[in-house]
Amino acid sequence: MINPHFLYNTLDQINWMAIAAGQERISRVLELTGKMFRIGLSNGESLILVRDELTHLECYLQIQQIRWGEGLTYELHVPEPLKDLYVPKLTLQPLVENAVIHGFNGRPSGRIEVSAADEADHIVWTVRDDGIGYDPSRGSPGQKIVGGYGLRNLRERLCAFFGDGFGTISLEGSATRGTTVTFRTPKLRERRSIGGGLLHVENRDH
Amino acid sequence: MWKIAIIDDDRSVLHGMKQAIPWRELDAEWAGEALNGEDGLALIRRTGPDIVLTDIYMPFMNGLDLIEALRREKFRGKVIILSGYSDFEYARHALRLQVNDYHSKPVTVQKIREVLQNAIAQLREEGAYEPYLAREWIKSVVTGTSDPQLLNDQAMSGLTLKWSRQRHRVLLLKLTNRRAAPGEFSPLADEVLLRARQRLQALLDERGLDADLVELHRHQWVLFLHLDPGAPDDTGVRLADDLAALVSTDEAGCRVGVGSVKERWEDGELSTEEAFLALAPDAAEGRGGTARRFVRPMQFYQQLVDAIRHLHEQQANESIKAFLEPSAAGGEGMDSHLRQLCLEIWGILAYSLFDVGVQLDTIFPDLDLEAEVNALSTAEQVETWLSGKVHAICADRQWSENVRHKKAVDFMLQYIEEHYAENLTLNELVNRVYISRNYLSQIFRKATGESFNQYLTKFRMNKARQMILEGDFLIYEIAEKVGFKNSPYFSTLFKKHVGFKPSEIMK
Repeated sequence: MINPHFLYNTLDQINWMAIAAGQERISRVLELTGKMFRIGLSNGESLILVRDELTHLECYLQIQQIRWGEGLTYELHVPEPLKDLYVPKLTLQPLVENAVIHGFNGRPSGRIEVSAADEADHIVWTVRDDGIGYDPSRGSPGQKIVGGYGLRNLRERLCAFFGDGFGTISLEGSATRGTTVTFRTPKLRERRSIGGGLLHVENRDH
Repeated sequence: MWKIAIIDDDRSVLHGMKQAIPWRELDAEWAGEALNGEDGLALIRRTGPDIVLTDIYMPFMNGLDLIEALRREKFRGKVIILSGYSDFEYARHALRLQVNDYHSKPVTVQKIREVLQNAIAQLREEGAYEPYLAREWIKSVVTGTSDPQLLNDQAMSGLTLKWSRQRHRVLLLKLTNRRAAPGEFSPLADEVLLRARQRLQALLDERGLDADLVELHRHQWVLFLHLDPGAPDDTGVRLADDLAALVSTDEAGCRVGVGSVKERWEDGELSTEEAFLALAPDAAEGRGGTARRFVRPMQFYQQLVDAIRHLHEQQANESIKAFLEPSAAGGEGMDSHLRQLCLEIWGILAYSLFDVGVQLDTIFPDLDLEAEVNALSTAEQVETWLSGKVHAICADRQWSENVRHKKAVDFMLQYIEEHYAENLTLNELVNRVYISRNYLSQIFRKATGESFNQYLTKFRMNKARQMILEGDFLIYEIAEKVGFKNSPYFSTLFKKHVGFKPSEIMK
């Protein structure tokens, strides 16, 4: 793995080259990339604040907006108190990336909505897009795990962190309504040491 | 002008930043740069910037150690970190050191602009810390352009208390561009001037001299020297030669004129005029020199430049008239002195306006200065000629933004004049000029050098002082006439501004 410091300095070097060449858009993409990497690496921490996860997601969306122009729009609805809780990092971005790359493939515009709801001891996450929609018939028959690599990876990580009970990712969609992905995470008020194994969730105080 | 210092171990960052910062838009200037914390600290000590932009990871002394050292020394400027580091621990550490802003690289130009705008807004808010105001105030002392009332400015009392125990001498430095033809307008580059200033400051530090360096305009600097009791009388005289040698390079020429030592700091302006006379081109001819034919030319130049910079055309014309009046009866040989004067004024205007982004060459593209000036032979003709030029300068579109502001500020000044007896607030004016409160307060400060409240209080105290001297009213009546219902509070403010209680003046 490369030294992160080297990565940021190199990004910065490209940034000044872009600025000198009057390339403001390149400079902006580099700024967003730097921010994304900082959160993505987070000094090796696995759990990060929801607030940082959302910043990471927004950086990704803004980079995509620079590529797409005005066609791509998004909305984030996350209640303020939930932003101070912890989630495994990079949970939202792969789902949004699926929407952008697969859902909006070949379309001039797309709209994404990410929301979080406070339900008892869980956060319920919803990622909705108005893309081509998820078609269950396209999965191979008898295939238990639906979705691509991104979804499978997320499911495995949720299971590893919180137990099999959290591995359920619901996937609904149709060509007219787009795709909606829903999953849950426990309400973590502090960062626990994980030590490579399962995280013992103690805050089931309801 | 806000001074910004940049510290980063990467030359491309230093170079990029310097190019990318919108200096003019921010009303800022480059205070210098350094490649590590140690040099950075020396740079900051030498130039006293208002804002420091620094990296964290640097050789010799890292950014956080640098900031810690600055905090120990009670550095009062704003510190902004632009870090290539990924560790958020550093950000937290930085917060404990009262860093004003922490950003990770890379950043866009837009971001840098925002960050600097915020820092400047904060500096403005903290009225107590106004290096700009202090510098402007010292400038008005050495050029004799300030209202005598202003000399008692309470904000400067710490400085004047120290000065009252010292003796004072002015050294005037005139710089020239050696690569330009005589009389050609050819400003020295920022870097050349900065390096000269740095060398000069280093020499003063080395010799332990207490002095304020004031830039009258790009090529004319005043060194206001404060001598401790017991310092030899010729301290400044020997210094003059060293300074000239120190500042001069292949590019920059420098001559230094020396004024005499004054017991009172208020007489600094006289020392400036003496230093100016010593530098006059025909000074060697003794009493016949052009400069000697006029009364306090330095003060006039500064008044004229200040008036034009603030687009007070009328004030500029009044200064011209007052200055030329004694010369109207000048007699024999006066015309050549007048022509000499015109050329000198033109040079000073060109350099001072260049500093604020207005180019005389652009306003008068086809000017044949020599021919025009040679056609002048009386003080009246000079007055007409100069007023015409002032009018063209003030009307130029390079000022357009300033002009819109000027209208708003003029209205405010007029309004204060008419309503100072009432309960007057900035909010009331905001409702009348349809400019946001923040913005209005910003442009007012920019134009007058003071906040609205400072200006209003000063204005009221001035009026009160006049009324007290006229002796027609009792103190509580005067308090009411300048908008104070509470007369003890009025007396307290009055003493703060004027230096005496109202009752002490009223006999």
